[in-house]
Amino acid sequence: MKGRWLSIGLYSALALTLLAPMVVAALWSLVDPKGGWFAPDIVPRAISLHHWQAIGLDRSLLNSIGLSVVISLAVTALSGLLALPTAYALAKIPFRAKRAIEMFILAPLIVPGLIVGIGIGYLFFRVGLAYSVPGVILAQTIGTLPFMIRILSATLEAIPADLIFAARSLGATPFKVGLHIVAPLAWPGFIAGGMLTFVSSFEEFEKTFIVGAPQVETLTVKLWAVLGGKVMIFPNAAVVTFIVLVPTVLIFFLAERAMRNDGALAAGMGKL
Amino acid sequence: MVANVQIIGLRKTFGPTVAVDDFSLTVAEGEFVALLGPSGCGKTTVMRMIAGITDPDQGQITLSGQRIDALMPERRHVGLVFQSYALFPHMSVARNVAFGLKMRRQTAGQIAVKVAETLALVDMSSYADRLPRELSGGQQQRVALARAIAIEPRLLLLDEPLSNLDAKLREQLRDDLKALQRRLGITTIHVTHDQSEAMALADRVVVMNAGAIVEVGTPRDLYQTPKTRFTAQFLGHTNIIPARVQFGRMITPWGELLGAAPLGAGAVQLSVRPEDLGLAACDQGAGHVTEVTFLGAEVEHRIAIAGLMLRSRSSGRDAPVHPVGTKVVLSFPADLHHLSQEPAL
Ligand SMILES: Nc1ncnc2c1ncn2[C@@H]1O[C@H](COP(=O)(O)OP(=O)(O)O)[C@@H](O)[C@H]1O
Ligand SMILES: [Mg+2]
Repeated sequence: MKGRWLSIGLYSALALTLLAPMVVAALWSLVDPKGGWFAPDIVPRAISLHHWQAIGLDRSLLNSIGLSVVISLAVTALSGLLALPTAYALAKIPFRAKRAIEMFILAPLIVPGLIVGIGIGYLFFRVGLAYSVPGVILAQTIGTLPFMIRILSATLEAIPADLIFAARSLGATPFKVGLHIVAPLAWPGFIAGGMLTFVSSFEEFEKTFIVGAPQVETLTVKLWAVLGGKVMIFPNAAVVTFIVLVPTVLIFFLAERAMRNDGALAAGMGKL
Repeated sequence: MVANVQIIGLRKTFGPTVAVDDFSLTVAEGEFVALLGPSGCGKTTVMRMIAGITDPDQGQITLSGQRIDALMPERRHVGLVFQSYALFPHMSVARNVAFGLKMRRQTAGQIAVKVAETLALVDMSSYADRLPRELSGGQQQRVALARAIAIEPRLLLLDEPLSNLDAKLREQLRDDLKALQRRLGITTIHVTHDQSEAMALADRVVVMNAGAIVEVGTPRDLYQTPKTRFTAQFLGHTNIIPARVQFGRMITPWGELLGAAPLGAGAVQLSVRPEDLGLAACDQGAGHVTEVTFLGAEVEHRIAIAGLMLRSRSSGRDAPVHPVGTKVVLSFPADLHHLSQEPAL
């Protein structure tokens, strides 16, 4: 019962935030350049795959897709690696300054990406990280880390301390406890955090643009280039938009399936 | 294999709270000891210090001559059953029970044999493949017990293992637990706030209050001859009567108790269980009945006498019932008991 309502909610959100723009983008990407698409018409006069073909022939787009995937994977891995010890400390070690530290870590969540980007951009320029892939990975990680830490620490906090003590008294070393108890109970949170990180990295623009452009051309930077040249090539932009949205849609779909089928993963998703 | 336990001067504070203070206890090999006390008196903290989950501020814990208080919990070889059971939710019953054996690097064959044997002991063989969330509270409790005894611990610690169960089931599991402990002969420390559970299970009961031991003794001694008011009142009900011993005579607030053996000297506090306090209707009686309650197995009378309020209980079909207002005389057992460690009033 609960699963069904969750599904309905998710699909409504999906329709509003993704489907509507996607339909428009789809139509734009299919406009036949000979016919065009003008004001009173609800759909274009003629449909063609012209723009998809043109973009498909463009090697630089394929390069951008590859680069975006690699960068997002790296950002996800790096965020996970950096977030885990912090999240563990936040979840398990009761220290007085805990709230203050939490605030500090989560601050980037409420500061606009552009502001953070400008700060980082200046700093990275000074230390020679500007216009490089590692620079972009680092810049994006600064943005995704707070999410990852939040999700992981919520996941770890949900594991009862008695389980860990029970395992210890049964003869498990702290390492074995991590392996046999914490990891299996925490993986849904890790997956949820990983998917969210991947998507937000894949769609990140401000920091990537400031630190990496024009040398590092991810999909979103490419989209900007298509949109922001001397003439705006709307249909081409629509094609790129479509590709940028693919992982988001995929993950929405996966999340919905998870809520329906797997209690543990749904719990992880709940922490998003 | 099975160990004796020696605890000396254990102390633990949490900030300003003294959770446990000067706790010393010796437990013999194979003995069943119950820690009994109200909620918050430090019972769990004692257990956690023995298991190695909490570090004591002071004190020593020795198992069969080996100091264990500085060992990591995984090195202590102590079985622990939590009030919450703490079963691993992602593992089947069999894997829960196998966990400790796996950590001890036993072979798959040995583990399978031991798991089957232990599940049979707690009568859970047919649930081996279930997940904990598919079990009832009583079944989870049995699995938690099986998991703890599978590793053949030197000492078994049970922290309120029955308190989350309903009354009927609690009684049955209590009997099963006792039989199992006798059969395996594991030295056991059992924590409870339920006096009847402590008395039914334990060879000796340790009564605790506010972080400290109040009294230690067999259930019978603690019930019949408690030294303190706290023990007398915590183990069932009692009537506390202030009295004076003068020239070998026992003087109560309503007069002399005829035929009472003199005990103590000066002011004393008598403790008389309601079932030991006799009652007879008599127009010259100093007391009168203020309330009668039918409890099924027993009838309870409340009697007002010389400013005191006493209870008397009698059992059986033929137990006399005196209506409210009846004048009564009280009769006392021949061997009166007084609280020897209680300061005089
Ligand atoms: N981790 C802790 N932090 C602070 N105070 C604690 C902690 N554990 C126990 N206490 C306090 O110590 C006292 C004894 O607690 P506990 O041993 O759990 O009692 P019991 O098991 O007898 O109910 C209580 O006052 C409790 O609030
Ligand atoms: Mg407790």
